[in-house]
Amino acid sequence: MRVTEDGGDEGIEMATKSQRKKQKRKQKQRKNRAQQRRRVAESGRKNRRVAADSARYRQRLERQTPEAWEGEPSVDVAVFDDAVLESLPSEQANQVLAVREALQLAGESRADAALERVAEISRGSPLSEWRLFLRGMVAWMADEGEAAEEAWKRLDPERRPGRMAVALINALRDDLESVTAAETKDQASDAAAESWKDRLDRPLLYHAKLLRRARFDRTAVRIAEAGVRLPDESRHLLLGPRKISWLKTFAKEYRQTEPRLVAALEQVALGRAFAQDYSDLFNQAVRAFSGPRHDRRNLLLSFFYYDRFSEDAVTESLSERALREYLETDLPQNEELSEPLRRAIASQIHLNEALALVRPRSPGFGMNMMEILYGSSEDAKAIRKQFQAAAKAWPANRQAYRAHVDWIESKLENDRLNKAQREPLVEELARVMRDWSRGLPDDAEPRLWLVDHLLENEETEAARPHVEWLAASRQEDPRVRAVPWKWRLLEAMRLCRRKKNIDQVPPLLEEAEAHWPAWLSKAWLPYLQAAVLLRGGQADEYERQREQTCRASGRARDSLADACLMLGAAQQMRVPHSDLKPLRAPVDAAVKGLDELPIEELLLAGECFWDLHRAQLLYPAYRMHGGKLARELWDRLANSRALVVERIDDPQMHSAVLWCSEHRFGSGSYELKLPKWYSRLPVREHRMFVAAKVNALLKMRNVFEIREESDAAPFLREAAQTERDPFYRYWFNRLANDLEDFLKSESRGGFGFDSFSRMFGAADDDDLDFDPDCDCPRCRAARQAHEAKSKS
Amino acid sequence: MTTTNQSDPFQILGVPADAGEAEIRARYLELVKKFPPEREPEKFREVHAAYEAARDPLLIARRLLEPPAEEPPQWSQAIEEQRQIRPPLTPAFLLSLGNRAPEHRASVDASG
Repeated sequence: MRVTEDGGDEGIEMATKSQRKKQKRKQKQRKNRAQQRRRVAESGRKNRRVAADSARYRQRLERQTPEAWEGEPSVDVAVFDDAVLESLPSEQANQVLAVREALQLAGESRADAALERVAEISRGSPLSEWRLFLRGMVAWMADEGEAAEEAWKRLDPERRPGRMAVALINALRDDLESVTAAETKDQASDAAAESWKDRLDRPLLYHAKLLRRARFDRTAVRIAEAGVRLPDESRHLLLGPRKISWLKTFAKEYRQTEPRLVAALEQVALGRAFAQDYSDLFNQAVRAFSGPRHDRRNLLLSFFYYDRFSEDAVTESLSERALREYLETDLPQNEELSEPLRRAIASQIHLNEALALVRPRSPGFGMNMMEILYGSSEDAKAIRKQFQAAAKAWPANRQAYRAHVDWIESKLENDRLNKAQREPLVEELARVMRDWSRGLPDDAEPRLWLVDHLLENEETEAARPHVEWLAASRQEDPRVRAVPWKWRLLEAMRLCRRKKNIDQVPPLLEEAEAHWPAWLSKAWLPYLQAAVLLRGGQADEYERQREQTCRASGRARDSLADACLMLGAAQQMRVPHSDLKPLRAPVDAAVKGLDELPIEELLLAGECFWDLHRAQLLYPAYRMHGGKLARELWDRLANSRALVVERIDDPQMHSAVLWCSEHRFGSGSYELKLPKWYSRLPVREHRMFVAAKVNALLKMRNVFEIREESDAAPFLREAAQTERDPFYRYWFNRLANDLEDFLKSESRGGFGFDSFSRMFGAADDDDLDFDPDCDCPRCRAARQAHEAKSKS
Repeated sequence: MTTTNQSDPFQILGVPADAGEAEIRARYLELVKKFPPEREPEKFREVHAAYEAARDPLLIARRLLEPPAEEPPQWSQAIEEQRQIRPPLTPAFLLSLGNRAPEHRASVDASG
């Protein structure tokens, strides 16, 4: 029952249940608001008391400036008075300057630098007192009171360093508040007879107390503790207007005396403003508080903040504007950072931007979710511009070159490219490799590529310095050690371009045989020799060589491996098109009748292809059938667990599986499709199968799946230690490094600069370990588990 | 990611990601004193390698460009950390500790 506002009889009426509930809720809200007001008022009163006290303390601190006394030695006065400094002889003036710098360093706890600065002052110098004082000072700053006393006890009590030492040492006393000062100079002298540190006159006692308050009692810390307890306007807020206003005042008052505390609280405020989705409060915070050294105006922070809402055009534009302003205005003018650091930051921003623009790799086979959702177009011009800017800003940015190479190679993987489309990409790749080699002259990777590319284009002289460098280097990479072999092989292939040079080729092949790397099969050599015979028009000799090769190797003539090796050798040795045609026929026939190919033939071919892959000697026609054959082999192996397990230690099986991993096991770019047996013993713990999986994953760069393979890095490192084959010994370590590098960069990625977040808008999904829009089995399972957890 | 933390030179040295060259060097010298090569050769090697890495501008740049943590930072933690770090002392304040009472001050007026 309630009385209506007019209070009349008719006003008396029965309240319904829901009205009573509403009324109760309102009463509760009123009560809460009143309580909060009381708390704020109380806290305000307390803060005002503390603030008044603190204002007096700050005034005292502001009055604290060194002042000379009558008869004070000029060398001491010069330490704080420029006019007196100018009157000193140059040697003394230099020593005074050193003392000034050392005091600054000692006050910042940079002990070694401080002592180093005054090391030149000799014992006979009138400034040696300062050297002694500084020795005690660095000990005092490190809370080593006894060591400080030991140094200071020899100081002249009538000079400034001696007096400073008395104030400093007494500031450590817990009973300082109850200590009384010596009233007269004589009393002070009498006390000094007991101990130098008892020579405490009134000014020194005052200074000791002030110092104790500034350094040990830390009023500002107490005020900050009370301030941060101020309730925010709503319990949903991490940082409200009231707290922002309080911190602004606090920062103004204490920035001078407690710079680190103020900076730390400002960083917390910015972090809290960042963590909530109220852009008005975020803007207030970034305007009010200074950011860290590299981002004083919080432009980078604003970029990250607005980047979270990238589905929205307005916030996307705000985010881009903030980053552009940071990169073009703020960063170049930031003198708090060294010039190399400024350039390195710019380079990394350009690289991150390029990576954010790059779509995941185009699929080899299978379906690509990204392309279905967003189409295959990407802004190649913008991507190139960002990659180039990254390399220009910091020419030693290895990651920038690697990512650029990776991007171009992903384009070159497209089988549908014609020669005119392919050539500019290869030229671009060559430019990147040249820049890489110049920017990081100790890297073998670009040089290895350049040797192949330059010899392919008959630029022998341009290739020579790289070959010489590689041959002389002590790189662990077995491919580098194999350079003398490869040089001869490539030179033989180059000479085959002109028939008149054919005579020079057999001796070169003999030399290549002598330098053949131990880790690489020689199966290809007789085919190369046969190809030279064919190129030279010696058809009978060629036939004899083929027959002999088949007999010696046990491969049937025109079987898959035999046909592919011959076609590859003939193409590399520039056999004319008319002679190539019959060599293509058995390969084309095999591809047409994939179903009928015996698995043994596929395994044998896989073994040969793996060698060509790792020696980086794939022939041009490989693009037409390599992928198809790899998919067929993998489909067969995926359904033949027994065969895999039976031959799990067979090097031929290893080569075949590793070759399939080069083709990402026939998976698309989004999800690595592996049979169940891959995650069971003994396959799961076999070094070659682990290496193959990591190799495939790194080619896909699927963040979700790679994340789960972090244990593979230490596993591969351990496997490398016991591996006998020099190639695998090196390659396992390299895979482990690449995997760790990827995981590191991925763990740093967060939402900013991340292509996934830009495409999906990850603002609310940051703590999910699955993609809410993805329908792959892993994400589906993780999503179901998450939903079940949320319901429970 | 444990692998990241174990090889993080800033974490090994115990300095923030935006630490300046001087701060990194000071901390390095402190650690070298604590772990001299003759007594703690392994730890010294780790510290030295971290020092070399932490001076690489590109590595520093990568750290600085990491987006802020998603978890909101806590006021109490920052205050507690700051409580352990004493504020620096400026030379002017330090030098003023040796001042005598006002009556002893050197006269600066024209009468000398």
